[in-house]
Amino acid sequence: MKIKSENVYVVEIGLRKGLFDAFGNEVAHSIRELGINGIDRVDVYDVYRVYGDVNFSLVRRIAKDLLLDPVAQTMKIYRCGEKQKSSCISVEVWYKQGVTDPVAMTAIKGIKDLGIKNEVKINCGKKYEFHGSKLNRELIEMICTKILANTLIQDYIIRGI
Amino acid sequence: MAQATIIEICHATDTRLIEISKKGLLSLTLDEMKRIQRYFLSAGRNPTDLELEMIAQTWSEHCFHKTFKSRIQLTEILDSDSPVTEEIPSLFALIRQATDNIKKNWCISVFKDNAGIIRFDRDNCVCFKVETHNHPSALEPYGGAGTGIGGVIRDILGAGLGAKPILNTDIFCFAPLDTRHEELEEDIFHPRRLFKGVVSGVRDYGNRMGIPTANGAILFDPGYLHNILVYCGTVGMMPRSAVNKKVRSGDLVVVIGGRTGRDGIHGATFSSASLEKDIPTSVVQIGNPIVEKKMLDALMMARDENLYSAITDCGAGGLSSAVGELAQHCGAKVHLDKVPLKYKDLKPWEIWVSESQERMVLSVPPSKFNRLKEILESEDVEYACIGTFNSTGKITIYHEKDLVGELDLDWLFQKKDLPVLKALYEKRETTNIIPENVNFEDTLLQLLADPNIASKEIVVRQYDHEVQGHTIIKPFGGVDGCSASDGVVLAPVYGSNRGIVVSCGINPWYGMLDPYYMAGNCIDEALRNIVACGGNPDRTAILDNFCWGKIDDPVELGKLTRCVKGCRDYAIAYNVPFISGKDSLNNYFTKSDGSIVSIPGTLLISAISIIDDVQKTTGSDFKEAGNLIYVLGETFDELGGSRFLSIFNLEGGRCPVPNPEISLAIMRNLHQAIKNNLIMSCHDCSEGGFAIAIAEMMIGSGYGAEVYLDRMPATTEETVSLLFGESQGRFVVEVDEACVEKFEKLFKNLPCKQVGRVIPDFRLKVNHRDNMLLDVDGEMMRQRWSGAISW
Repeated sequence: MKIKSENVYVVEIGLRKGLFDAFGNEVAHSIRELGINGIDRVDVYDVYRVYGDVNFSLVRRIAKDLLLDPVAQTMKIYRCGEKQKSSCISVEVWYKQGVTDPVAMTAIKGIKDLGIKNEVKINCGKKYEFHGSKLNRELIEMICTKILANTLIQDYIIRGI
Repeated sequence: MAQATIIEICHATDTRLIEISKKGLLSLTLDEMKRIQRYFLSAGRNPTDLELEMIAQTWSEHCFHKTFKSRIQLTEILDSDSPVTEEIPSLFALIRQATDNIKKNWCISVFKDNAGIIRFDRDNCVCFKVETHNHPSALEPYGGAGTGIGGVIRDILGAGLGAKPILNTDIFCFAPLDTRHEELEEDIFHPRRLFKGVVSGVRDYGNRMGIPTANGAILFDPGYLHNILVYCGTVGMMPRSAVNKKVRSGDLVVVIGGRTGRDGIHGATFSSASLEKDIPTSVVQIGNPIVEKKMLDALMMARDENLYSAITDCGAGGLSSAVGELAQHCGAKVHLDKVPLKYKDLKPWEIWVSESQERMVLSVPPSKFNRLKEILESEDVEYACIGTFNSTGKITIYHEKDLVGELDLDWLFQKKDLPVLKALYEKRETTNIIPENVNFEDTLLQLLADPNIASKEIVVRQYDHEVQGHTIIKPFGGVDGCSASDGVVLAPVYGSNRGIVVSCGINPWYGMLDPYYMAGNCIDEALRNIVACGGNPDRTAILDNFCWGKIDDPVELGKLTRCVKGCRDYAIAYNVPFISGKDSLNNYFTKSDGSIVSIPGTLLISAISIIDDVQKTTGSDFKEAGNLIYVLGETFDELGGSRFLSIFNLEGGRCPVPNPEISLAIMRNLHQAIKNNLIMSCHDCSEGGFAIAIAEMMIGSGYGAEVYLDRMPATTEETVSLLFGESQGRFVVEVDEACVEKFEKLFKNLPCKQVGRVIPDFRLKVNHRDNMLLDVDGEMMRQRWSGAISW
C-alpha cells in the first residue's frame, strides 16, 4: 500500500495481562499441530492502520472511543514505520488491496457516528507475537503460510528476525 | 472516464473466438461463441465487453445448468447383461417427473423460485433452499463459507416476496484431519485449516445474523483432499400472500444493501470450471453479516407493507443475473452510474457482473418508492434506484450518457440447442465381504472414534442454535446434553404448537458402489431422521444437491445420471416430492503431473416435514431403566460402503438396498406411535449400524442396555452384519412396558422385535446365541465418541 508513512498511525490493541487469550492459545495449538515445538506462547493483537485526514489526538480519540474495550484490553498508538522496542518476533497480517474489509468499513461508519467529519481511512489486521526459542525465518514463513495468512487475499510482514 | 470496449467478433475466425473466450475468462464454448457471432452479425455490429460478459454469465453452467438441461444418452452395463442404452430428456426432467407424479397439494412453488415453498398452516408457508459454496471455501475457507451461508440466506429473502430466515443447516465434506502435510499438493490447504476456517465462517455469519444453525453433518474421506464440499441451507417463513411475485412494467429497479466493488468478478464462470493454480484475488470475498442483517430487517417491514412487486438476490452473475432474471419477461433500462460503488474507476462491465455480497434487487412501483426509502433509511440500508422495468423485451444498459449494452432478452434466455451428452455406467461386481476374527469391543470403540461417526459437539456448540427461541428438539439432547439428535424440531409461530422438522441424508460411500442405491439410501436416511424425531413421512418434502466431479467425462456423467434416476425412482416410491435442488459440477483438481482427481460423487438429501404438535416428538436418548428396546426393520448381509469395512480398509461389498414399501410402512406406523406417546426414545440405524445406534442412545442418558442379537429381525445370522451392518429402514426404539400391547399391535405385520432392555448400569451388554459378545463400559464409549474430533 502506497501511503506516506508519516501520516499513518498504527493502533495496536491487545488483551490486558492476566486474561485468558483464547485466540492466542488456539494459534499456539495449531502451530504445535504443524510439528513446530519451539513456541511457548503467542500473543495476538488487533491492529488498525489509521490514515487520511488525521492527527495523533484524533487517532487517540477514535481508538479510545471506538476500537478499544477498556475493561479487557489495552492499546498502543505509534506512527507507521516507527521503531518499536520489542525483543520478540512478530508477524502482521493485512488484507491485500482490493479485498473488501468489512471490519474497516464498519469502523469508518463508526467514526462518522462519533460525529467526526474528517475523511479517515482504516485498514484492519492482526499482529502475532511469538515467545519461544529455536525459531528461524523459515519456520516463521511456514507458520505464516500454513496458519496465519491466506496469501490469495492477505499479505504478511515478519519483524524481529 | 470508464467506458465500454467494443470486441471485434463478427469477422473473427474460430481460433480467434476461442481465444476471446479464454482470455476474457468467459468459459464459453465455440458453439456458443458462434451463436453470439450470428446474433451480432444480424444486428450489424460488434458486442461490447459488457454484453459478452452478460451472455457468459447467463449461459454459464452455474446459472444455466447446461448439464442438467441437456439430453443424455445413457449406456448402462448392469451385471453380466449386455449394454442397454436409453435416452433421457434431461436430468432435471427426471427429478421433475417425481414431483409431478407425487402431486402433493401442499407443494406451493417448486423448482421455479429461489427456493422450494410448501404450506405450513392456513396463513403461512415455509421455504427451504440448500446451496453449495465449494470452490470459494477451498480457496479461502473463512470467507468462502461465510459468503456461502450469506448467499443462501439471500435466496430465502428473495423467495416469493421474501421469507424470514428461521434456520440454517450446514453439511461439510473434508479429507481426514490427520492427513500428513507431505501428502498435500502445493497450494492446497491442510484439511484441518479448511475445517476450522469453514466452521468459523459459518459460525460468525449465522450467529451474527441471528439465525439458529441447528442441523447438519460433517464427513471425512480422502476423496475430498483437493476439493472440499460446503453445503449451506436456510429455511424461511413467509405469509401465504407473499408467495408470488411479478415485475410490472413501469416499476423502478432498486438495488439495496452492500456497495458494488471488484469482488467476485467471474464467480459464476469460475465456479463452472475446475480448480487450477493462479486464481485471481477477486474471486474470494469476506462476508459482512451486519449489512445483511439490516437488509433483512428492512425487507421484512417493506414486504408487510407491500412496497415492492418482485425481489431477487444478487448471487452469481451479480446485477446482470438479478436484473436480467427479473426483466426476463418484460424488459429494463438500467443506468450503471447510479449503482453505489465501493471505490471509483470500475468499468461498466465490472459493475454489471460484480458479485459483491449482501445486495438485492427490488421491483418497486414508483408510488411506493418514498415509503420504501423511509424504511431503508430507518434501518440504515443503502439503496439506489438504477433504472426502470419496461415492456420492450430488451435489456438496455447505460453508463452516464453512453449506451454500453443492449440485448434481446428472449434470445438471451431462450432454450438453446444443447448437444446430446453421452454417459456410460458400468456396474461394479459386488460380492459380500466379511472380515474374520473381529474383536467386537475394539471395533465398537474404533467406530465410535471414527470422525464420521464421532460427536461433532465441538463444532455444533460454536453455532447458536437457540437464537429466535423456537428450537424444540436441539442438536444435542439427553440429561447430559450430549446425545446427538437425528434432526431438529422448530416451533416457529409464537403461541402455536405447529412445527417443522428438518434433517438430512448423505453417504458418498454407497455412491462409490452404486449411485442409484446411494440416492435411495440417502432419501431413506433423511426420512428416517425426520420420522425418528417426530416428523410425518407423508408431509415431508426433500431437496437434492449433487456435487460431482469432471462432468465431460462420460463415466462421471454416467454415475450422475444413474444417481438422478435413483432420486426419481425412490422419491416416487417413498412418496416424497422434490421441491428444490442445485448441482455443483466439475469438482476436480488437476495435479501438477497433469492427472485429474474428481471428488466422490456426493448427493445430499435435505428433508423438511410439517407436524401438528411439537410436543409429540421424541429425542434419541434412553429415558428409564427397565424399558424395552425394539428394533424395527430387517437386517441383511449388506456391509458394502459401511464404516465397519472402512476401518478394516476393505473396499467393495454389497451396497445396502432400500425397501421403500416396508420402510415407508414402518415410518408411517412409527409416526403414529410417537404421536400417541408410545415411544420413549427413538434413533435410526445409519453409519455404524445397530451397535452405534444403541451406543448413541446410551451416551447422554447415563443408562445402559442389554440386547440379544438373535432376536433382531434379520435374514442373516452373521454377527458383524447384525452389529455393524447398515441395512436401510431400521430404527431402535425404547418402549415403556405399559405401552407394549398398543405398540406391538401397530407393528403386527412388520419386521419388529423386542431385542432387550434399558439397564441401570452404564454398560452395553450384547449377547448372541447364548454368548456374551460385548460388555463395554459406557464411560469409555462416551470418551471415545466425544473426544475423537479436536478443534
